[in-house]
Amino acid sequence: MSGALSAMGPRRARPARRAGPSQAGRRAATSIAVFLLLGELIARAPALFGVEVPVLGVLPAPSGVVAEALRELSDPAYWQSWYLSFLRVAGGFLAALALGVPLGLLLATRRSFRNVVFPVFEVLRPIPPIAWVPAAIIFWPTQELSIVFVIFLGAFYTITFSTYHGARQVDPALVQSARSMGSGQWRVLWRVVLPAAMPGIVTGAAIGMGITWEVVVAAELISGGSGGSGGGLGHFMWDAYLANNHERIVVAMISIGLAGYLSSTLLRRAGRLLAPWQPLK
Amino acid sequence: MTAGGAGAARGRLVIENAVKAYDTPAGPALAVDNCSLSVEPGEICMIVGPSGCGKTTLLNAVAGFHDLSSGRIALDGVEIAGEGVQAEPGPDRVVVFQNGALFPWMTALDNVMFGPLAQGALGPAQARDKARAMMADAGLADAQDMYPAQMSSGIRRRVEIVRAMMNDPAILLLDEPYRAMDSLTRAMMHEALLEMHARRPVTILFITHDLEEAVFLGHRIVVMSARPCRPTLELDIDMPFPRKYAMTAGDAYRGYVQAALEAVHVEAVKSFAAGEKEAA
Repeated sequence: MSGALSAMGPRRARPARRAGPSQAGRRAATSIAVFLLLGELIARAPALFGVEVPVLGVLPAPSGVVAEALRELSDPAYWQSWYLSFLRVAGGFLAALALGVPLGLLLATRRSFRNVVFPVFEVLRPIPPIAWVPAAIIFWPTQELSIVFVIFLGAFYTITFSTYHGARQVDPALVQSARSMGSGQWRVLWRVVLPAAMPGIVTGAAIGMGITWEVVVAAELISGGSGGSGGGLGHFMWDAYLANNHERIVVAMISIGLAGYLSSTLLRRAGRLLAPWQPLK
Repeated sequence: MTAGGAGAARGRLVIENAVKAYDTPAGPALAVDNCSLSVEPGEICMIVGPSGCGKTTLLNAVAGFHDLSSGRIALDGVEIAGEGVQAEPGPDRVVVFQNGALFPWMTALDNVMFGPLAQGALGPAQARDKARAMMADAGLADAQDMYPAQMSSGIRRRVEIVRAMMNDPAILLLDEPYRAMDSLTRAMMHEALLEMHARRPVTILFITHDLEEAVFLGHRIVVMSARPCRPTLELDIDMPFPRKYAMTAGDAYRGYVQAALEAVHVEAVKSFAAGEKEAA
């Protein structure tokens, strides 16, 4: 948030350029305000005009959502949902990173390993992570592990594949030059192929992170819905649905969106720390 | 050539009857055929020949990037390619590549330190001191903390040569390192390389297709035939060191360039005709 503000500061200070950015900002604010106002009018149409708007009429009023959000902000159970979902995403995502990056590097650099492992990888990859849910529940001893496993799968294929791809595109001259200076295979892998593939890995991780949030919500919905202890933002949303609390459903949806946005931002920051150099040319 | 110290005795390269064939769908294709060449310690040996003639194949065999089909290569009496020898690159013969191979994620200093650290030859502090000193000698002290993307192409190439020299190689293998540069930058690169060589007379095997570059830098020029690559003419360049760019206006220089040009031209015509056939 503060990053966005400070980025706007100097731009505003620049006088010329037809007041571009601030005009765009005003337009954005206007468009969001109109959107919210329309939502409010639609929700209050029966009271204001005596007509119910078809289909859209069931949506909760933005003011109601805000009120519900304010209530939730002071409720520890709401924050517990955030905490649980983040924990699962972090667990699955980190496991995917820890296994996917080395696997991708090995697939890219060891031909015999690739010949053996890649076919299996390619057969399993098209199966959507959500399709693993029943199998995961049967396979893993606890529900928690099965949720984390499904999240892991969501990020794993993407991270492995983008690492593999990034490592395959490393300039062979870099590898030859490292070998020429006396690097062994493992040093080449760790000090040359890995950093050279880093931009690809960061991109893959960002996409993988997006998938983990899709998966965690679905997995929590399923596990929560089947009477499990569940918890997490997906379960929070399912609860709101069972309680027929439309406002809280929207609060949950926005929370999940925010959670995904925050994790992507964190990841981009980390990516910039991991790859501070600018690419050549 | 006056070359003092232990470095002078090192760097004798002997290539005997080297043959390298590649398997292609159409059968084996000869890249290097029966090539013999020896390079003396401290000599700058320029290999010129038409594009695609197999010069790089020969250099890669010396570097240890691939085996020979037959023949042998020895560096200071030690066989590095030949029957029963597993091709293995080593810090005694470092390559500087055509398009540059500095690690973009490392500063110049970290790039220069890479070799001794990879070999475990020096500790981090020693490697840093040596790298600083060598960069200062080469006039590159200001570039120490830059990433390659922040340097000009000329600085990048000079850093890369310092990085190679950090390994105390017996021979430096240069594969058209100044190819993509404008002539002004290239002139500065040439003088910087010769200055470096005067400080530390390492053997240099230098591939180029630029004859003026070859004459200006080399003790000797070896003209290679069209593919498969084999020496067709050796030309000793009898001009004094240190060479300066003013010499390029002299008759001796022009005469050497002319002689090399004639030899290469014959091969270039053959190479062109062969290329037509291969493409068909």
